[in-house]
Amino acid sequence: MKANPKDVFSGTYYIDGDVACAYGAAAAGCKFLAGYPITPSTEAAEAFAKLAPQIGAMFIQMEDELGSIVAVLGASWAGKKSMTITSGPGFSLMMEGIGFGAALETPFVIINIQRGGPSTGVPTRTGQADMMQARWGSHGDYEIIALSPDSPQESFEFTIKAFNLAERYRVPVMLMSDECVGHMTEKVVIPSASEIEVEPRRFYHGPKDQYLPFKPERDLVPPMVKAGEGYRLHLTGLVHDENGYPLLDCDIDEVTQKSTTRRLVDKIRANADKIIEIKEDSLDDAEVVVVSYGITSRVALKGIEQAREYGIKVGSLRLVTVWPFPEKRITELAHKIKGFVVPEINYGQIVFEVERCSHGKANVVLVPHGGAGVHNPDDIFEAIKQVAKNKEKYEGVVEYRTSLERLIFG
Amino acid sequence: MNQNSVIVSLANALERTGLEKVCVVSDVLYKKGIADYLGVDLFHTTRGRTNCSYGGFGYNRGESFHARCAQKKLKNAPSVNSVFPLYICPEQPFNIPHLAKSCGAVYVARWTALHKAELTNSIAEALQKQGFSVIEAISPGEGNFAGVDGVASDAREKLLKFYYDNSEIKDTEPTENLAIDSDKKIIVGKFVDWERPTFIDLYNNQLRHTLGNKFVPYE
Repeated sequence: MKANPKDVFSGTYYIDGDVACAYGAAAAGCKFLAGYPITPSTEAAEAFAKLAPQIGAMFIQMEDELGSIVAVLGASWAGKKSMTITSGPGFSLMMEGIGFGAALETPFVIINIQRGGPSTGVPTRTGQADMMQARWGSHGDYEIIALSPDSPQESFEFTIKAFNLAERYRVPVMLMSDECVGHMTEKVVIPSASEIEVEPRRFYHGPKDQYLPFKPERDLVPPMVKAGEGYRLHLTGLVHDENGYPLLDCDIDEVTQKSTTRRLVDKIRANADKIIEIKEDSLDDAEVVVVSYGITSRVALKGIEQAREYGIKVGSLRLVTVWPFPEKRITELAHKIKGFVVPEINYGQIVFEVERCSHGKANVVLVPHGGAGVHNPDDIFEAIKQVAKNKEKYEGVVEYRTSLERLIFG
Repeated sequence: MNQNSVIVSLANALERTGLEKVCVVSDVLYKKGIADYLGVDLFHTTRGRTNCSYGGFGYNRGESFHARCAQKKLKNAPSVNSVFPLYICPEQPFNIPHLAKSCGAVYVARWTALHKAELTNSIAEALQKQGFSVIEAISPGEGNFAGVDGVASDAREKLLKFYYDNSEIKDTEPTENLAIDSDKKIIVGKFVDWERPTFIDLYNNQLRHTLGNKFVPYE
């Protein structure tokens, strides 16, 4: 289905990544944003608040992020494409609601413009240390989808992609941007509505008395209805059956437990090949592969270029979809190359996924950064050199000692 | 007579009002079939998170989570709070009606489980008001204190006698006088009933004024 022309502000803009997210949400058909201002994401909420009254959408500034996330869930069940926008501290507060949303199979989007952490951290500077929290932050078994843009243009495009995935799989989708991308101002081209594909809500159209809110159809995903239309919805975070009724002590057995919780993970895992998107460059004859995402993938380009000039066969694998993780591709590459270099603005998160999927077949080197800034591309180049020249097999992940760390810690 | 008395009052109030689009948002109400029984949509939230974005009926327990103010933004959202018997709790209880009034509730009342008819009336009145309302329903917890399997078989009767002996109806009592104290009577009644524009009304008016023909209302 094509986007509604009334929701698309076609044109060429010079805007930052935050604002581009707002335009992307509008184009995707988002009609509800509940949020609480937090640097460095506030510009996105402000931009959407400005667009909202022109497209029949609503922005509510809630009392905090706890309220924001449950308001988003409510709006989604009322039939609106919904989202919230936040950064690390707010993201932490939302974890309970994210698990609740996953359990209720509620489609919504969370935009996280990551900043340095932990805790209040460095509000005005960048970070990529919420990546594992995005995947594992709430308790219990569930799956989410997370995307990572590296430019304002991608911020626009991936926000639309996030809404489409949320609706297609009835799942929370996270746009894991970062302060650099969020505050980076570049040219953004918003195409006409006829060029933008949007996923409509998968509404149920059968007889009212036969509707089961958690009975899956194709792709293990159940269709939805709107609250208030007489379906007598029973929605609960308790483990529930296809009616939505809680499975209490007398009902729970191994089979029912598996059939409900199992599907929450299976609907993403079974469709992982359709969901996962990566961008590859020069992998055919690569001996070293740089795995990166977000702003770091742009910084890494310089290091990769230096390595190629130096004569190393280095390829690049950029994670557009971070979760689910592209396990198969990493494993496949691990059998063919000497090693992976993983620069990220944290002290090791996605690098451990790379190591897990390498199954000991390739060396894995982390190029860490503590946040509040981006890598020096020279460090990425040096790490690539180290992997290319090394003849031993490392045990586990090896951390490259960056020039900044050597300067500070000796 | 226990928390179910609130549900019965709600069911009676819904029948009386004839409202068709009602959502119950609760952190305690989750029994199978309750949505069908009440003829509503039921949203059983995680603990205390009854801030949802469509109008309805919030049902919380304990420390007045609704006072987090989200419901001031709703069009039509009465909320009932069911608190546990005060003599087992060493904390100073909230003055829920006072808090609700200061949050901007358009309708505030308090009743005990003894006052079923009054509670039903209040829920019916509140459901039909624009804006958010708060009704504090003082009722015993279902499990230990007055349920079928309660610790004492005569606990329910004792509690109702307690409410009879220790409550006093004082409609329109200023809310600042409504704190519940163990050596004072529990004041019950309807304390606030007024009209004020809802968040949606104010939002629409302001944006219509600012944007003119460009304004597209949220529906």
